[in-house]
Parts: sequence; structure tokens; C-alpha cells
Amino acid sequence: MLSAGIGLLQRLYAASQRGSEQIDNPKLYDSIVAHLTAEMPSAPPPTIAATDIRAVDREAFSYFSEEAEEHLSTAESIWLLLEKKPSDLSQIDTLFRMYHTLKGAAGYANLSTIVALTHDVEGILDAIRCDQMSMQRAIIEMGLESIDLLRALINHIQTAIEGGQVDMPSLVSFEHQLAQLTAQKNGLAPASTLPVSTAAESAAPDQAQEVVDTTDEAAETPPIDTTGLNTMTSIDTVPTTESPELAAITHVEKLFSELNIDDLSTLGVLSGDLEDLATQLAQDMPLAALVSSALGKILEKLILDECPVGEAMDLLSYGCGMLRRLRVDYETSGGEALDDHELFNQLLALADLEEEPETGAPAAQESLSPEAMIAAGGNFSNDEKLDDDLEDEPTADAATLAAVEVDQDIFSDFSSEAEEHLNNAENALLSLEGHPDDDELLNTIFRAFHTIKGASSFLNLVDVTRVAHSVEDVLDSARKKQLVLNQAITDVILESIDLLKELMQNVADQIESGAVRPRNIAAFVQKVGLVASNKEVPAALAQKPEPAAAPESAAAPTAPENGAATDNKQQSNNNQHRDLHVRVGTEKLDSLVNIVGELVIAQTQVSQNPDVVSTENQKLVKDISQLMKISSDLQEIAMSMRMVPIRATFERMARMVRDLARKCDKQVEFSMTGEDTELDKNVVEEIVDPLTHMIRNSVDHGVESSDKRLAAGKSEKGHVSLHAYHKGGNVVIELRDDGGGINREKVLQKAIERGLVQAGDDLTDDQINDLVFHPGLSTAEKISDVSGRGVGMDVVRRNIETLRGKVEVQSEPGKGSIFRIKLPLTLAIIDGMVIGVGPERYILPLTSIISSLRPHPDQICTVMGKGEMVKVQDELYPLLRLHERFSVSPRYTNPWEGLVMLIEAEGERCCLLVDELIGLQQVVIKGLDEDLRQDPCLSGCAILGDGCIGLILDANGLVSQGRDNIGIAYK
Amino acid sequence: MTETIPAADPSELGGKYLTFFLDQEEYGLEILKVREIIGLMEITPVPRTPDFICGVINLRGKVIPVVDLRLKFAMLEVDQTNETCIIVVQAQDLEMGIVVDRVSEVIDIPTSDIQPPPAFGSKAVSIDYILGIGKTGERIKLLLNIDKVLSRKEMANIIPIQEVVA
Repeated sequence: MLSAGIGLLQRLYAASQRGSEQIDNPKLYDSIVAHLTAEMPSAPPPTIAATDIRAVDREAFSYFSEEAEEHLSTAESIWLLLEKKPSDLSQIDTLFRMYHTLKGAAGYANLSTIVALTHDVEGILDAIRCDQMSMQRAIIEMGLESIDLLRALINHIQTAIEGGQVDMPSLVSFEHQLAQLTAQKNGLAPASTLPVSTAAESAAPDQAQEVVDTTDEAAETPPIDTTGLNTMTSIDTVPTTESPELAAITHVEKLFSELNIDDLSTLGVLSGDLEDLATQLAQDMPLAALVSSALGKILEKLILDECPVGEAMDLLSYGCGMLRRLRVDYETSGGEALDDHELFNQLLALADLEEEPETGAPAAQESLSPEAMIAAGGNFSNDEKLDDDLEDEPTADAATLAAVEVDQDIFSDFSSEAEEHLNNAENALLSLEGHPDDDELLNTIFRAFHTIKGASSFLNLVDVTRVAHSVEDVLDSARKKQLVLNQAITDVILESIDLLKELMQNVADQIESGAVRPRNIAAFVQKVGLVASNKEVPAALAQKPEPAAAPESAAAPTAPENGAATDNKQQSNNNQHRDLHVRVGTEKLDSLVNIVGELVIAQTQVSQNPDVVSTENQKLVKDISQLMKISSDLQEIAMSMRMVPIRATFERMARMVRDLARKCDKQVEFSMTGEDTELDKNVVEEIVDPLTHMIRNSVDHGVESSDKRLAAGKSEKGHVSLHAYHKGGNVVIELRDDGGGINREKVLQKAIERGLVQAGDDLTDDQINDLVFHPGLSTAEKISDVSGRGVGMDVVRRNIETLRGKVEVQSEPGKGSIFRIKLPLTLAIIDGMVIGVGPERYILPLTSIISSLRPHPDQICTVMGKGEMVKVQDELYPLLRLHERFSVSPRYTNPWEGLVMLIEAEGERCCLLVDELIGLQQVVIKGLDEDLRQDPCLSGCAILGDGCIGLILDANGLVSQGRDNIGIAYK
Repeated sequence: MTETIPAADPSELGGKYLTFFLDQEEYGLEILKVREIIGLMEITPVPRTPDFICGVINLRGKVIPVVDLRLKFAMLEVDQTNETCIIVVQAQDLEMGIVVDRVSEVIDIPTSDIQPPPAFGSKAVSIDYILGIGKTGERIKLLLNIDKVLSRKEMANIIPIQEVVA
């Protein structure tokens, strides 16, 4: 049985190796699942997915999947980078964050499988960060595999949500891979020897899930502390040996450096942090605590405009410097000393300038005892103080009344902000009910109350501060795992949110109408305290007997807390990101572009109106030209909104080159330039397929094996590169390889065999190279054994041409090939030449026009009675009479009366007979209904300046029509 | 052999119809399929399309094809009059204009007044396009199955005109 199981594992492993290349092979998976259930009847069939889907929050998932794709592709490129430079540990941090974010997001959307998977990878990355593991090939394999798997999983869930059936991607081999790595990690990690490796051998997915759990524990137990500190390091760049207090000071210092005096909310946060810092430092660093609380006070005053800004700023910067010095002192000597008593006193003086009596300012100045610190730190920085206040009802009232004097602007700022925070907290709290273990949610709630507390205390909204503070205490205990948030506590917190909203409303009413509506909050605060203290009795889970947040005993909680700091950091980054970008559906964007296009047309119509043209009203002329400018600006912006860098596509290709090379057992290096070149989103999407084809060709057929390369005197490693750049209104994408190049003789021979060219034809090298795009030569069996090239190349050309692009190839035998794709910047607009034939007007893309001429009758000749040719500068070009082609009656039938346009497409030229040139115009391309586009000479239509429709001519179609008319291949 | 289309459930046919004239015949269009009625405007012909496709028009920035129903039904072509107009319809997945001689009225035809199309014994008349025959009012109204008339299949059935070889 065991041997059968191992055999199965091997098969599965191999299968999934293949599977990662083509995840859409349902048969393969079917057989895997069938094997699984058949061979291991005791193991239930993989039900993870099924349960997953029911629990998945759909909306959350849709956000998640969008975001995940971004993270995954970034992560993928980092993995690839790591493969090249395994020593680059800075990338690991980024990678770690990606997985961490994914994990968090997946957790939010209830995707347990993804959470488990990302968590595992995170564990490994962690180990690498902590130097418990070294970067190795297997890890990179695992990482890339994990990305594939995650994509497959997301895809799977997506399909399942939509009601489709896709087999759950097999996690088995991945778990196996992971388990090996984890085992290795644990082997190296000190004091952690869980028998995971044996557990990992059991292969059924659900058991694998368990494996995940065990490995989790293994990963989390001992190394986590260092990890936490490491996280800290990467964020705050403080030495790893630093204690939490010092970290907190650094944090505040950082906040100071980013301080913007006009931004009240930052000031509020900072002041709140300072207050916290004061409490935290009270025991070990009384001086620093005092400074910090004084700074908090000054900031508060600053916000309330109670002290001169200049003086306050001076003192703030001094105080910050002092904090830093104190920190350094403490770090080096373990003690602290003041260097400038005068300034220090000044600082205190300003801070306590208008200190409310109950804060006991004199005490703060008299001694530096911890108690005094706390007193100076703020009204409600500890519980005893709060209790005092509870009995001190009149003070609260007075303070509420003081609120009347609060500046209304500041208050409305505060209240809208607070409202937002409260709503966030409420949402988070509700989600927390579903995921009680989600620390991030808890942090969100905590932050909300903390901010409200800070801000309200500046506004002297004592009631609000008290309520917020009491809830904050509860949340803090929960954060430190001293308290489990149960139903009762959640209820109380929700209640507090309502209460806070009510209080805020009261203050607003008070400011507006002066009506005082006293609200007894003491009872509530007491209730909160009661609820909290009931649970203060350490639950079975509590790791520490000590309930208070004594800093020096905080070693254990440091890790989660520091972890939380990372989260905060990340979250705030995310928030910033969100502020800067708005996700808009492409559909909306497209219709915006369309409408703007219409606007431009309507604008042109107005400005070309005869009445407007002939007007003598200067104001009107001026206004219209202003309108023109605005609408063209608008159009430009609308267009630029659709532009995206081609980076993502290139990165995908990088991955593909790597995979292909491994598959073909070749050594291939990949590089790219110009990946920031921007292209229309549609173009970028459409270019993926052709590029994939071409890359496959290059790696598979172009680049030779190492032996051959060495034999040919080339470097062992093949090189494939992608380049993107602008050239003359187009974007060019180049694919270069230094492989064997196109074997022209073989291609020519094949082409002759297939009757594509005549044996005696004199073809240039470029023309022969061009034959690889011919559909007749496109299949691999026909050519690839000898020279390669040509697999699906006709499809490539067709795809690119539908994008109105061009593809050409240069190749030198033995040295390599260059494929060059020329693409328009956008699909939506072209510069067109409007031409007239009889009553009709057509639009010819400007890029295809070489010249226009009125030939002399001598220049026209017929070839073998078959077709007309025009001789232009000693070259003969076929003449295509547009009126004949489109069955319209022209004004001129003789070329020497009308006008001849020389056009070029696919390297061929042709002359068109038209009546007249009407003018240049930028037109928005409209597709023609499929049924109407029977004519290859048409590519679409556009609305002209007068509102009529003009058909857009297709240069390729015209040229090939011209060639057909002559009936011969010509140069 | 006459192929009768599986006649749409007659009980669903009742409702409001926009009626219009082609020659002397009055046709009815389900009102829900009608987008709007516009006067004749300049139509840009598209080469190599069947005769009955007049071309395309610019409907406020949208380009939609226009079909001449007379030609589609192989009736005599007539000159345009003041009453000639274009009815913009939403047929299945595509929006289209149809040129008709004149628009008549919107009437309510109860299901009881609708009878299935007659099965002609020969292929002389294709009844595929007819949903049923409405008998409300003085005249017979031919209720058009516009989805069929303008279906992609109908359009694609067109054999492309022979390549012009110079």
C-alpha cells in the first residue's frame, strides 16, 4: 500500500509538472482524482474547493482576484529575478509582502485554500529572511509553482462562482514540494523538530491541508520573534537589538520628519502616538516620556491655535531632537540625561501653558516620577485616572460646554473624519465576527478608536474621548490576546459606535443651536470596563499571566505587534494607492473615448459650418477656437487613459522563455528593454498571442542546444530579448534571438515544392524570409526539423494585421533573427486622407500613402492585356481604379485627368485612381458590421466632419487587389 | 413539401404593433423592437453588399446598416417620397434601420385577432418572415418576424458578388 502510494505521488508530481504548463487538461486531473479516490478510499474526495465556494464572499472575491493578478505577476517577476540573483535578499521582503497581502485579502474573501497556500510560502520566505534557509533552486521552483497554482485556484473559484465546472487544481505535488522544504527548514531551525515530513507523505488534499496546519505551527513557534523584528528592520531601519520603546521613539521621529503643519489629522495622529509613547516610556525612560508628552501637548495646542506657531515649531523640533538624543543615550548607556535644561523647561512651560487643572501640571514639573509622566501625558492615559473622572461628573459637563467654543470648521472636519472611522470600525467589527482570528481587522478597529480619541481630545470633547478610550482599552487587550472578543464585547463596542455617533451629533447640534443635550456616558464607560474586566481573567489561550502592558515583558507580544506594524504600514500604503488610482471598467472607458470622439466630430462640424466660417464676429471665432483647443485636450486625455505599459506582457514572456527553455532542455537567457512603453490597452491585450507564438518559435526552433552552440563558436547560453520603442507614431516591438536563423534554402525549397513560388523566380533574401508567414508553410512537421520557424506564423501575421500593425523578419543564418512588429499607438484613431470618387468619399490611412501624382498618358501601359500599370520613376505599379472596384460613377475615367495615389502595404505598392484629394482628417474608427465588411478593401468607417460616413480603405486589401488585377507576382 | 416554421405561441403575439406600408401592404412590427423613427438621411453605400442593404447611416455617432425592405422582399423599387422613412429596430443582436414607404400607426392587436400565417402550397411565398396575421381594423396586417428578416444568417446567406477581374 505504501509503495503504491509513493508511486502515485511520483506520478502526481510528474503530472502536475506537466499540468502547470497546461492547466486546462481536465482529463489529466480527472485521472488524478480518480486515482486518488480509487487508491485511497479512506480519503474523502477533494472537497476543499466545494466548501470554499459556498463560503466565498463574491464581491470580495472579485476585488481579490483583480488585485491578486497584479500581485501574482509582480511576484512572478521577482521569483525570476531571484533565480538570476539568489543573493538579492531585498527582493525577498517584497515577495514576502506580496504573499502576505494575498493571504490577508484571501482571508477576507474566505478563501481558505489560498490562505493556507500563501501562508506556507510565506513561512518559507520567512525562513530565508531569517537566514535559516538559503535560497535554492527548489525554492524558486516552489515559488513559481505556487504562482501557477494560485492562478489556477483563482480561476477555479471564479468559474465555480459563475456556475461552471472546472476541476480543482491538484495541490498534492505542491504540498509535497513544500513539505520537503518545510522539513528542511525545520531541520535547520533551532529547537523546532516537528515530524512534518512524515505527515507530508500523506497525499490526499484534505490531509495535505492538515499538513499545512502542522507546518504552520512549526514555522511559527520559535523563529517568529526574530521575524517580527526583521519586519521592523525593513520598515524603520533600526537595529534588530532594539527594544519596543526605542522602536516607538523611532516611529515618532519618523512621523515628525513627515510632519505637515497644515494637516490637522496627521497632527492628531502624531499627538495620539506621543501620548502612547509617554505611557510606554514611563517606567524606563522618564525623561523621554516627559518630553514626549509635552510634545503631544504642544501639538494639541497648535491644533487648537492656542500658542504661537513659530515658537511651537521651534520647540517641537527641539523636542524631537531631544527624543532622539535620549534614545541614543539609552541605547548606548542604558540611561538618559538632559543636555539643555533651559530649553527643556521652556518646552514644559509651553506644553503646560494652559493645562487644565485636573491634569496636574505642577506635578509634571516637580518630579520625573512615572506617575507624573502619566499625568502629563494626557487626561486619560490610564485607568485610575479614568475612574477618577467617572466620579468627577461636573468636569465632564464643563468640558462638554467647552465644546461650544470649538471652532466649527475644525469640528466639522473632525466629525466627518470620525464618522468615516466609525463606519470603518463597524464594518471591520462585523467581519471580525466571521473571522475572529484576523488581527488586521482588529487593528483597523483599534486604529479607528485611537484616532478618534486623539482627535477628540484636542477638541476637548471629553465625553467622546472617554468613550473612545474605554473601548480602546478593551481592544488593546484583545490585540494582546489577553482578551477574547466574544459576543458581549462585540455588542458593547457596536453600542459604543452608536453612542459616539450620537455624542458627535449632540455636539454638532450644540454648536449650531446651543441646545445642550446632556448624555450620561459614565454608565456606559463603566459597562465597558466591566465587560473588559470580566474577561480580563486570562483565557486558556493567554500566554502571559501579566495583564498589564508592561513594556519589558512584552517580548512575546512584540512579534504579533510588530507584525501588525507591518500591516499598518502596508495598509496605509494601500490606502494611498487607492487614493491615487480609481479602477474603472474598460467598458466605461471605451464609451468615454467614443463620446469624446463624438464631441470632437460635433465640434468640427460646428467650426466647419459655412455660417461660422464666413462670420465676422470675432468673439465667435475666438470662442470656437477655444472650444477646439479644449476638446482636443480632452481627447488627448481620454486617449491617454487607455494607454498601459507593455511591462506586464513582457514579464509574462520572461516567464514563458524560462519554462520553455527548461522544457526544451536549452539554456536561454532573456532580457528586455523599453517595457515602460505605453500602448493602447486593447493592443497590449491582443499582442499577447502573437508574441507567445513568436517566442515559442525562437526558443524552440531558433536557439540551438548548448552543444550545437558551442560547436558553432557561440556562447553556451542562447539569448532571446524583447525590445519596445517608439518610432514615427508607431510602437515597435522587437524579438531578437541569437539562434540559427532562418534556413533560406530550405524555406525556398519548400515554397517551390508547394508551388508558392516558381523555381526560377529571383527572390530577395527578405522575400524568402517573408515566406515563413505564408500559411502554406506554417506547420511544424513541414519545416521545423530542418530550420524551424513558421509554426503558426501566418496566424501571427494575421493577428498583427488586425491590429493594423505590420510584422517583418530579418534573419542571418547562423547568427539569429529579428522579428519586428510595428503597431499603431491606438486602435481608436487614425490620421486619414479623405479622397473623393464620384459622389463618395473614402478615407485612406495616411501611413500607407507614398505620394500622389497626375500621370502623363505615356506613363500608363497595359501588361499582357491583363491590367494597367503606371510607370512612376522607372518602376511599374499596378493601377487600381477605385470607381470600378466600388461600382461608383466617377468624374474622371482617365488617369491623366484624375489623380493617382501611390500606396504601400506589406512592402508592396500599388496605384489608386481617384477623383480628388479632399483633405487630411483625424478620424475615430468605427467598426463596420461583420456582414457589411465583405470587401477586403475596406477596414471600417468613420464619421466625417459633416456628419456623413466615410469608408476607410484597407491598404493591404487594395494592394493585393492590385496585384490580382495584374495577375503576377511582381517586385 | 412546405416547411412551416414552428409558429410562435399565438398566445404571446398579442400586444402593440407599429404598422407601416410597403406598397399597398400593411405590416406590423412589435413595438418593443422599435427604437425610433427617423426621416430619410444620407446613406453611405457600402460596396459588395447585397442590393437590399442600402448602406450605413450615422445615427448620433453610431454607425448602423440600413436595409431597404422593398428590395429585401423583392418588391419593386420606387422613388423616395416625403413619407419614406427609416425605422430603427433592435433585431436580436444588431441595431438596424429599415426603409419603409410610410409609417402608419401604433395599434393594439389582441391575441384573439391574430391567426397563424397561411401555409402556401408552394415555395412561391416565403412565410418565414411572418409571425402571424393581424385582423384588427379594416385591413389585414402582416406581423413581421423582424429577427428573422434581419438575422445574421440571412445576411450571411448572401453569396458574395463575383470578384471583379479587370
